[in-house]
This record gives sequence, structure tokens and C-alpha cells, in this order.
Amino acid sequence: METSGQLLLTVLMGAFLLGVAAFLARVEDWRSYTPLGAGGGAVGESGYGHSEKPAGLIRWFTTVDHKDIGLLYGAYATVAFVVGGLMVVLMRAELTTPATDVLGSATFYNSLLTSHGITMLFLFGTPIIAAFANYLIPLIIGADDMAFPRINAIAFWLLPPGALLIWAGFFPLPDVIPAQTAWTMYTPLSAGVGNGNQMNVGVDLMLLGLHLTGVSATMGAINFIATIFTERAEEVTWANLDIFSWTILTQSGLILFAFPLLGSALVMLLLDRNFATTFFAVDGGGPILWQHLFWFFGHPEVYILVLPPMGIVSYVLPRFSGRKLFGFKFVVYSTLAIGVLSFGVWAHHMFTTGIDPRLRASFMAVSLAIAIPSAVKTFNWITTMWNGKIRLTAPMLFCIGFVSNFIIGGVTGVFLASIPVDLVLHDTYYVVGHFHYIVMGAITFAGMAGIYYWFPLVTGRWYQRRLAKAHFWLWMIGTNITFFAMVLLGYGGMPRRYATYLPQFATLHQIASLGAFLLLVGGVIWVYNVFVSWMEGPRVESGDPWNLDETDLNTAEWDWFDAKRETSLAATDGGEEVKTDGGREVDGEDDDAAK
Amino acid sequence: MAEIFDRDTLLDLTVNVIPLGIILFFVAAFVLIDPFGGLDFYGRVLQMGLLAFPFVALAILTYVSGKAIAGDEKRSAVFFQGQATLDDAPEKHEVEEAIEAEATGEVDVGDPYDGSDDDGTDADAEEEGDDDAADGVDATDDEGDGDDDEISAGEDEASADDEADPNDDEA
Repeated sequence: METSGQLLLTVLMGAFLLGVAAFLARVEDWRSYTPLGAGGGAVGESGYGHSEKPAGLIRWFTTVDHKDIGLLYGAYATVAFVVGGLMVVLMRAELTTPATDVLGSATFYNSLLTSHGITMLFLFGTPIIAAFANYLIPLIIGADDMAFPRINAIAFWLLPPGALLIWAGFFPLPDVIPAQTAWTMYTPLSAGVGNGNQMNVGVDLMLLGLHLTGVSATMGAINFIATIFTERAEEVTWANLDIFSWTILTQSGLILFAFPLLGSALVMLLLDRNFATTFFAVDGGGPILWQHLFWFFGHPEVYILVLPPMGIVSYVLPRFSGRKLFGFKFVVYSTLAIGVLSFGVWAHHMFTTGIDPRLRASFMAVSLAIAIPSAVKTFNWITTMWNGKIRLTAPMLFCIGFVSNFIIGGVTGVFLASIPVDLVLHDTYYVVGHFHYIVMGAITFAGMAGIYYWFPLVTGRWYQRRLAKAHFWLWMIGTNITFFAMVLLGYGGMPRRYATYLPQFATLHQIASLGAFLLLVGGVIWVYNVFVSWMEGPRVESGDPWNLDETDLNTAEWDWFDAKRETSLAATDGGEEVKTDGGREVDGEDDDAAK
Repeated sequence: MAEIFDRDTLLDLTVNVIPLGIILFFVAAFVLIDPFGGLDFYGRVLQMGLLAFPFVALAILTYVSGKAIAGDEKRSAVFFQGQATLDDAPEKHEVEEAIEAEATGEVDVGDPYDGSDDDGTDADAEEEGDDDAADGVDATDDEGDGDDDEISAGEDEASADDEADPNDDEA
């Protein structure tokens, strides 16, 4: 009986796969398929085959256009951000009381903690950067598309299964529970040693999912390096390469050296868990080996996440300061310096593990040195704004928020680089506050600056600026309330990662939760604004929507946008009376909304 | 070599010399003061290697990137970031010369970005745009007739009317 059931399932699966193959063969003429370049190959294409993209869902499943893939990355990152955000809202709700009154179980809290970290870093952070880079870099450097368009598509399509595996424990699957290893996956806990439930297959699935996202990031990085090196327009020499492309190039270099190491370490951990190897066992390589391998990846990962946002700020902030970026080459060289030095600081995450204090001092030295390039950038941003003609648009507000939060996050980090301070503050909420100032206050703020800045370019529509500003202020206030409270909690000695705490920490925890709910409200406004504005926002009426020509700050991607508008208008009916659909009426609505 | 690494380029590279200097300071401190003492040869190699590797790698990358960037500056036209592929973008030195000439009081300075805003009403246009936005008359679509050639100078104000609305600072 059981055998015939399995047979039936096999036949059904075979039929299903045949159906999929037939469907794909039907909708896609693979032989004649030629990827469309930037700017659209719709004009001047000859012969048969697809000169237009396929319609509907098929377009998104088969696209190799860098802009479409950029949008896919963006949509994916948004979903991940919402998931990771809701996870932390639950956690902050739990932390409003010292006991586990809200969630009812520390185990569930631990699961959320683990998934929040991994989701935000691997499923939101890296992909949202890839979204910007995919969409914009070919436009800015004058390339037709990415160097390897199909690898580009594959790199993206590895991500959704990665997310499903990472979140598998939360799905109603029998005998699968979410990983509770924290995002650092320290051994021996993550190796399943002891009496806990970390031998569960949920951890294995998460490790496999992480591996997929790592492969994806590596493929993307190779693509960006090849594109920037070989596909630049002739005029775009190294001296003319823009700062965002520089940061993506450096980031890609970091990914190339860091992510394969993470992949190897993950495989070793999987082997330890499932095939009784002893890479990280006490009588084998030792649990500390994991920390060395993980942080050799993990610290560059910090810069993998922060360099491109720095590039976005360096690119966007001057547009609303009415000036060119001050010390452009300082920013470029300091970006490269950060890239190199980031591989020499990994053990500053391990100062309290008992490593030789004499070696520890070397890591402290490089950690202090790496603060300089970051500080240089900060001074450049401030100097760019100094005496500038500042326009406080939503992207500019987020850029200024970035600089402000980055200063607090950076300064708190410099203290941690100092061994005596770190010995006191290690594994406290001070560390959590510090790095959230960077990942939320800086990286995410820069991402939002980019989203608002290029929203007209991507959608051809305007967002609602009043909602955007409400979003900014809720986030700016929420970020500082939440994460400054965490810094204070850390000074008080509150250890990180716990679902429960002593009553004396209650007030600061409740303040932190209050800030987190402000962030939630801001986030809801953001999602609403982006979604609704994309659907029915007022159409952009100019190829230079930010008036960059006024201050001679126009750039290549807006030039492309302008050309696209002109050609698409001409293609509509070719007449003088060309208008965008309903432009007048929608503008009227915008007028109302703007008041 | 000397041509590429001229005074300006060396000045640009000082930004990376500072972290190199910090590492060098610690190397000297560990050698001269030896605060921990008693490191065997292997330990000493590790301690110094952890400093030497980033030092050498950063020095090499700074040299290579400096050579590439400064070399391209010497070999071909230099534009401001993101403007290299624009049709009418002036070269960096043209803009800088114009600014210097203006600063020294030279009359009749041509705008290197000519064509887009040669009427000198930049500030006016922006302020007007702001005012209009504040008055709520910013989006009357008075140029909604598909101004394909809006780059032209005469339309600055019109475009400021319409597009300045998300730009102003009315919070």
C-alpha cells in the first residue's frame, strides 16, 4: 500500500515536471531569445524573436535585463525587511516585561532573534544593495547590461529558495523547528552538542539556505567586478568612475574573498552536525576555530553592507547640497582602505575568548586604524553640506540621518575596538546598540535615501513627500530612542540575546520598545507610500525631476531617464499634444496631497 | 612614475597614509616597548604578521589605485562623478577654471555648463519653486504639454514650478 502510494506520487511528480517543461517551451522561444539591453532594444531590432519583453509573470521569471533583476532584488529585499521587522516587533513586545509574558516562551524568542539577524543581514541588506547596483551601475557607467546577464538572473533566483530554507522552521512542517543559534552560529551550540534542541533539522536547513545566499552573493560580485572592469563606456575612466560604482567594486572584492570562506565554514559545520567530523569539536579543531572562520567572513561582511550605502550617500547628498562631493578622491581611496583593512580586524569580535593578549593587541591596532577612513568620509559629507544650498527633500533627510547616526554608531564602535573597554562591554546591549546604529541608523537610512531619490527614475512617478517625511522623522526619532536606550542598557550590564531580564532594566527596555514601535509605524508608512505611489502617484513631468541641471549636478542615469521619456513619448503617438495618461488630474491630486 | 605621482596625487593619497601610520606606530611600540614580553619567535611572527599584512596590502592597493586613477587623469578627460557620459558636461578643469576666474573678479566668465542655465537665475528659480510649492500652486501642470526640450534655459522656472514640490523643505 505504501509502495503504491509512493509510485503514484512519483508519477504525479513526473507529470508535473513534464507539464512545467511543456509550459516553458511554449511560452519561451529559447533559440531566438536575445536579452534586451539597457535603454530598450525595441527600436531598431530586426528579424524575428522577442523584441519586446514577454508580458506578465513570464517576464519576471525569464528576465535577464539588469533593471528587471534590480527590481526583483528590491521586491525580495522589501519582503525580507518586512518579515525581519515584524520578527523584531514581536521581540520588542516580549521585552516590555522582564519575564516571558508576551511570547510565553524563551525558545520562540531565541528563534526570532536568530532569524531576525540572518534575515536582515543576508536577505535584506545584501539584496537591497544588489537592487541598487543592478539597476543603476550599467546606467551610470554606460554599459549595455551586466557583463553576464544570465548569471545575474541565476544569482537572484538562488535567493528565494535560500529564504525558504532559512525560514523553514517557522513553517508548519512536522519535526522542524527554527534555529536558535543566533546569527553568529557559534559552536558548540550550533554543532548540536549538549541537551538542547539544536540537532534539529531546522538548523541544517538554515545553514543550507545561508549557503545558497552566499553563492548568490558571490555570483553577483563576480558579475559586478567584470561589468565595472570591462563594460564601462570609453569616457568612464578610473578617474571618472562614480563613487557608488567604486563602493560596489570594493564591496564585490570583499564578497569574493569573504563569502566563499563562509560557505566552506558552513559546509564544515554541516559535516560536523551530520557526518561526525570534528572540525569544531573540542578534541578536534576546537569551537574557537568556528569563531575565527566566521569572523574572518563576518567583519568584512559589515563593510560589505556599509560601503555601498556610503556610496549612495556620497552620490545623493551632493545633489541636494548644490555642490560637488568634497574630496571625491579621499572618499574613493578611503573606501579601498576600508576594503583591505577589514580583513585584518576579525578577532576584535573575540577579545574575550581568551586568545593571546599579545595577538589581541595587533587586532586592536588595525581596528583603530580602520576608523580613520570612515571618519574621513564623514568629514567629507559634512564639508560637502557646509555652506551648501541644501534642499531638505526626503532623500536628503535620510542622508543627513545617515551621517548623524553613523557618527554615533562609529564612535561607539571605536570604543569597542579598545581592548579594556571591550572586556567590560562585550556581549552587552552596548554592542547591540552600536551595531544597530550602523545597520539600521546608517545602512537602512541610506537605502531609504536611495529608494526615494531614484523612485521617480524607476517608477516614473512621485512618492507622497509628506508621508516620506513622516517616515523619516518617525525613523530618526525611533532609531535614536531604541538604540540609545540599548547603549545605556549595555552600560548597565544588560547582557544581549536574553528573552528575560532583571527588573532594574525594565524602564530602558520599555523605552527601547517604544522606539521600535515608532519604527514600525514609520515602516508601515513607507510600504504604503511606495506601493500606492507606484500604482497611482503623480507622473514625473520632467527628465530632470530633481532639478539637478540647476546646480550642474545632473548624472548619467537621469540622462538615460530623460532619453527614455522622450523616446517613449515619441513612440506613443509622435504628436505635439503628447501627454502622460491623466497627468493633469493626477497632478491635481498631488497638489492636494502635498498640502 | 614621478609624473603620475605628482604633488596633488600624493596629497590625495595621504588619506591612506594615516591608517598606515597608525599601524606603523603600533609596530614601533610593540618592538621598542614590548609591553607583553616573552613572545617566542612564532608568536612574534604572528603579532607582526597581523600588522604587516594589512600594512603591505593597503600600501600596494593604494599604489595601484593611485596609479590607475591619477594615470587616467593624465591620459584622458576628467569629469565630475556620473557626468562622463553626458553629452554637454564640461570637463572638471573647465569648471574649476571658471570658478577661479569668477573668484578673482574676472568679468565675462562663461558658464562651462552653458545651455542649461546661462541666465544666472539658479537661486531665483529654486526659491520661486519653493514658494510656489508652499502656496500649493506647484502642480498646476502648466508645462504638462510634454516639454521634450526642457533642458533649454527658458524653461527653468517652469520646471522648477512643477518639480520643486517634492524638493522643498516644508516639513
